[in-house]
Amino acid sequence: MSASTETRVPEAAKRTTAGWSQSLHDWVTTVDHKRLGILYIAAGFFFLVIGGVEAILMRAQLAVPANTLLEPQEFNRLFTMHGTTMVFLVGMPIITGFGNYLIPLMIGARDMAFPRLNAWGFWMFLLGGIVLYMSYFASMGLYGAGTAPDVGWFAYAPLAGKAFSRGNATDYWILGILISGFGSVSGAINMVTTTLTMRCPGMKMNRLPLFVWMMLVVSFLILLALPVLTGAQVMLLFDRFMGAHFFDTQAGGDAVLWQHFFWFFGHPEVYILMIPGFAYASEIIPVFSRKVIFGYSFMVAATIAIGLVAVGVWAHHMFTVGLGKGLSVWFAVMTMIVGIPTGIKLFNWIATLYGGKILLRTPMLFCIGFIGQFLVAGLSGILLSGAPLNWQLSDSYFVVAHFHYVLIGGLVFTIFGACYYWFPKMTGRMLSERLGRWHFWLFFVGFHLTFTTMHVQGVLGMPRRIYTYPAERGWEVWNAISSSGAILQALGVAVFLFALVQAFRRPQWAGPDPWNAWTLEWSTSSPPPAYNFLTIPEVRSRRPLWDLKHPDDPDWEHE
Amino acid sequence: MTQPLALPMEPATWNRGRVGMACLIFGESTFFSVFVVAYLFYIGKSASGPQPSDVLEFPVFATVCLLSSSATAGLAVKALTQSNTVRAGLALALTVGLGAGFLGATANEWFGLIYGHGLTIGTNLFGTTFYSLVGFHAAHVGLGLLMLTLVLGGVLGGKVGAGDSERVEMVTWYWHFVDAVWIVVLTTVYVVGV
Amino acid sequence: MDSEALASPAEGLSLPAPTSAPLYLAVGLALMLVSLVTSVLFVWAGGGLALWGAVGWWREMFPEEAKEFVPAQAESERAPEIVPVPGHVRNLVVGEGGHRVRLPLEYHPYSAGLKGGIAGGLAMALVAGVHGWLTQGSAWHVFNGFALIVLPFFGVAPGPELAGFHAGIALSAAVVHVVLSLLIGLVYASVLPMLPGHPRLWGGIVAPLVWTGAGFVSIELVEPGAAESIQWTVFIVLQIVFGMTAGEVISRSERVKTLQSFPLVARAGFEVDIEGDEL
Repeated sequence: MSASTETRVPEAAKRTTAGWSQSLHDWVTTVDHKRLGILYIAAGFFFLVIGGVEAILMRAQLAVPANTLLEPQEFNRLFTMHGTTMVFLVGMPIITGFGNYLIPLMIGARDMAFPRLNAWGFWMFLLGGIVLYMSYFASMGLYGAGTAPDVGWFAYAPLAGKAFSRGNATDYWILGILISGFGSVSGAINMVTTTLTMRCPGMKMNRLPLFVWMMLVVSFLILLALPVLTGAQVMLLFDRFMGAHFFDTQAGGDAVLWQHFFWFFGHPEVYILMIPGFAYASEIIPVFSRKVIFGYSFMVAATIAIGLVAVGVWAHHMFTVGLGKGLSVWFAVMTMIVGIPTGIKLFNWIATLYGGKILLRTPMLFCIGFIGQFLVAGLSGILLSGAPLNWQLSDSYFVVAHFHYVLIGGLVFTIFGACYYWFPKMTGRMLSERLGRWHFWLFFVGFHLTFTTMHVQGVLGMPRRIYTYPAERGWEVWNAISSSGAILQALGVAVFLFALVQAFRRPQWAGPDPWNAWTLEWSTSSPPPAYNFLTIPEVRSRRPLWDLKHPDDPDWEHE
Repeated sequence: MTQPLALPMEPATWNRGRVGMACLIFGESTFFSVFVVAYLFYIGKSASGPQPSDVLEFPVFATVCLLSSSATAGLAVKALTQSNTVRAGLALALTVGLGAGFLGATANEWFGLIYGHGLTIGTNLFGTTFYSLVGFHAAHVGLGLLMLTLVLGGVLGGKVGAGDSERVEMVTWYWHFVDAVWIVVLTTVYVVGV
Repeated sequence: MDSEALASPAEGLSLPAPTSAPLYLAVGLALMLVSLVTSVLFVWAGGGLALWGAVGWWREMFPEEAKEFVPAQAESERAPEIVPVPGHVRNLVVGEGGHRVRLPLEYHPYSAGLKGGIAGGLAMALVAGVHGWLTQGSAWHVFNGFALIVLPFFGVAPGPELAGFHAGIALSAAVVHVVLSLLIGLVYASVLPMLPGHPRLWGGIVAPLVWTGAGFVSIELVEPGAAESIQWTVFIVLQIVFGMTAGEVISRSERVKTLQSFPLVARAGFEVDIEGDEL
């Protein structure tokens, strides 16, 4: 690890063959944004499978009333770990991974601003995930060794305090997220700095691909929200280890304070998760409509507006704690307002599709599914924003249906679309279109079976986080349908994993630009060389490759 | 001539170091604001134990140390840009010394609070919020001092010169931030809360 | 001797060198934190690793950033130069028609909507009155049905007084009728040009059927029991009368051009004579 003033020819170049230990060493010591991006995405999908298994177990337990498949405490651990895993160990790394991989390529740079910080961030994220899952083996919970946290993914006080969460299970929850949170924050610092300082000549801010704009907004939200969570978790640690009283109701502490702090982080967090989904859709939909995105400036302005307003709506997660009329009105109105810029974006995607030559390839299928599903998700969110209705539906399966519609129907669908779209760039191989369709339809049908019906269960009064329910309530049919959908979703994901494997066993080679797209990453080879661009490109419009392919009608004459 | 990582759009007034440090400072500000909010929220709510007005004294010495250390840090950067490494080293040494003085004053205050008044983090809400807020601030002062000491070592050893003044300025930005947080902490704990 | 000086950009580039220092630092910090739930020994082990990582990272950055030389891709592996695609770009021209470019180039003014609403409302009231006189001997019954929309807010249940003239009910019905006629007229004026094909069909038949259906479905929620008091066939006929009348009036009104079809000069606000319809 000694630094020297002369450059070093990489070890691999000196050997004729690179053994597996050399490959492993290369991956473990890499500071290349592309490799780190792939590592983030791969780790995210690994945790997706684990989180999915946790979900399947829960749906199996809930498929029939009065089921005895799982103990109540096991069920509590499952929903805690499922939520925590999906938000922090699947959503965050996958969006960081795509951001890391694509931002430098899209702005014509050779790497991120701080490559070593980038690597540190990835390892912190991964170690945080490992620490969280160590709890299954190492923590001494109330029920003996080997218990994962069971306090829900938002760990409300005073349940999460020392008195009611004995043993170390909750501490593993805190530490796991604390450690991986540093990864997110360092990723955000990197993305902001790279975007603001390393754009290629000609790439003014209003020529940035929408993907990059949206990741910029996401990064600001991360810098705003993650440290708040870190602070709150440190306070909880102090409570649990040093006898502090931040959330200790018996000493005059306020349990609702935890909720305010958590949701001040938690609401921007769900936008941090969702806006990258918007970013993928904003890149894929124009290419597969063969049209430029409708209303670029409004898309940017709407994203910034969403980012700003999202900071002021957190207590819509807390309507039932007794906020009082003034606060309830404020948060209800602000939540409704945040639907406006979101709606603008939805209209712009639809307007992009309108009049376009629609190519229904796999990435586009997922994005079209996203549009409809996100609309429903947003509408159920607006329903929940009315405080009186929220009192009825809070902590019911309606809320569960709403946020799964956003996170799966919105985010996961666009992530799958992004995978099919950028996999050829990352690996040089296409993913099978046929398997992609199987994946889409299995997952789509399964998703709707599970989560569309879940709205009904919620309205019928089924609370969330219950490990079983009696037969007379009328919920059995809906639960059975929801559970069957889970199986189809699992099959869909299995098809996807199989497609990944097949792409390496029976490669269908992709060129640099298999989709006839227009942003800079498609001008490099697939996969790109370590340095991305041998000569830094110069751009004159938002679609530099369009200008090169169609010099008779370049974009800069229209922008 | 090393190949730059990427040719920037314009000559960088806002270069990597500045933007990166600004982002870090932004993130740290939101971290601190959580503790400030908790402190403000719990003012007057401690049912028992020592109260702020009983045990707190306005920390004049500590404040003077820290605020003047910001001035000396600025002087150090200016001297470095003028290649006056002697003056830069002196200013940096003063900065470090004043910063250490601040930490010493804080330690002294805490000694008195813990052993004199029996106030610990678990005593009451005041203790909880006081030690966490002031403690985290002191930890950040320590971190800043560590970075400044490394820079000082570099200047004294002749390894840090005018060409590094941009990077040294980033370290002083962090130091100024720590100072600004102290002003907030001062107002919250010793003015509003008393 | 700096070997980089010999390498030209075409042969390769310097990139930040790979390093395991961040990994050591990360593992060290994580171990230190995990000591809280395991053993205090981890503080020392973690601290040592973290220090090793921090020092290593420092040395990667100072005094000079550590770089590695990456040789350029072989010519065969590089992405080919992007060449212009054969064939021209065909721009869609405003006004050329077809499904791909349907822009609202002309629209009906709001006044046409108001006039259509009034005309439709009058026609509707006339037909309703005649029907009521012919079938029930009273011109008011159907008309009073409008009051059903607002009566629940005043706590008045529908009853026998709907059959005849009753000042309060007639007034509420009149207000409701006028407001709705005007509003729906305005909606028609805005929306009809956007619909493909036959505006009279859309406005005269389809729209009344749609809102009658919606009303039928929702009225039980708003005012249980009111559904029985409404004669639905008469209702639909009256809506169709309104729709066709209003649609007819609006369709015949003068259309106004939208700004999109104006040349740039006019859109930019200059006072210019716009002549002709050339696009």
